Amino acid sequence: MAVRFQIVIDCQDPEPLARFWAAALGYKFEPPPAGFATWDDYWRDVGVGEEELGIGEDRIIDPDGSGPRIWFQVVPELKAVKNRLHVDISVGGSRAVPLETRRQRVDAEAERLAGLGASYVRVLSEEGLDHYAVAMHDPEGNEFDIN
Amino acid sequence: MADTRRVGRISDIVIDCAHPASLARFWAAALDGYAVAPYDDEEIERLRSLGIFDVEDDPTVLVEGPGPGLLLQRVPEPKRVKNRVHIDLVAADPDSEITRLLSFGASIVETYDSHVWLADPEGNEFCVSLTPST
Repeated sequence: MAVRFQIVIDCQDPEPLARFWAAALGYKFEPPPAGFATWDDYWRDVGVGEEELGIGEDRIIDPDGSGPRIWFQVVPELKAVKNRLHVDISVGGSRAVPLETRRQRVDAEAERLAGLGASYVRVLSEEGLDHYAVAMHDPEGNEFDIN
Repeated sequence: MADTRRVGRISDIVIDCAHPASLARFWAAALDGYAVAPYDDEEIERLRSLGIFDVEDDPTVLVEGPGPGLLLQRVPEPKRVKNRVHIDLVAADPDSEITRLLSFGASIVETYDSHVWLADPEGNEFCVSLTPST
């Protein structure tokens, strides 16, 4: 069986995006393998050419080990259309939490992430619907929702 | 607990698709410990209230497991370009895992030294690392 998975996000410049998502999720940069001071040292040892090194931090992990690793992969092409995969970030809590409390938590988190470089897309809320979410873009325009 | 963690956590990876029920079955079979979320009476009633009488027509299907959920969501637009976000799988025995994935609807796009690039039944790219997990 496939025992575990990581999420790969194509990007132009990995380190700023890795920094944003680490701050968003409480993740940290993944340390290089034992015996290597930096990831570049490790990849050099693997045989990767210098032209592919020096891109900065590009992998983040959950310090708790519960969330998946995220790798920001440099690609030549720019984002062209809405992503067909996106992540939902949960801060509001379950439906046992009153809607107004969830709304306050979601809005506070959206404001925090906006301060880190995310931008607002829209509020996902309907009269009579027990759901509140905010749709945002990360610093490279990748869609995500906070609920 | 989501309610006590200092910051948010990834609750779900949302995947746009044409037919959530069948793609949900694929991903439930692909990922260790994952399964299509069961339909209880309340959920079946909720779907009925929306005019949906067959769970095969459910526009949002959740695959749940030990990590973030995969939420398959029906969208009107077809896939047009390579996905900018994808999932990488790690397996104890990559070769037999790839054979297994092919048996229920995955296809190989390209093979590299370090990984195999595959597509799910709706063409969503994913990779299997050729380095066995430990």
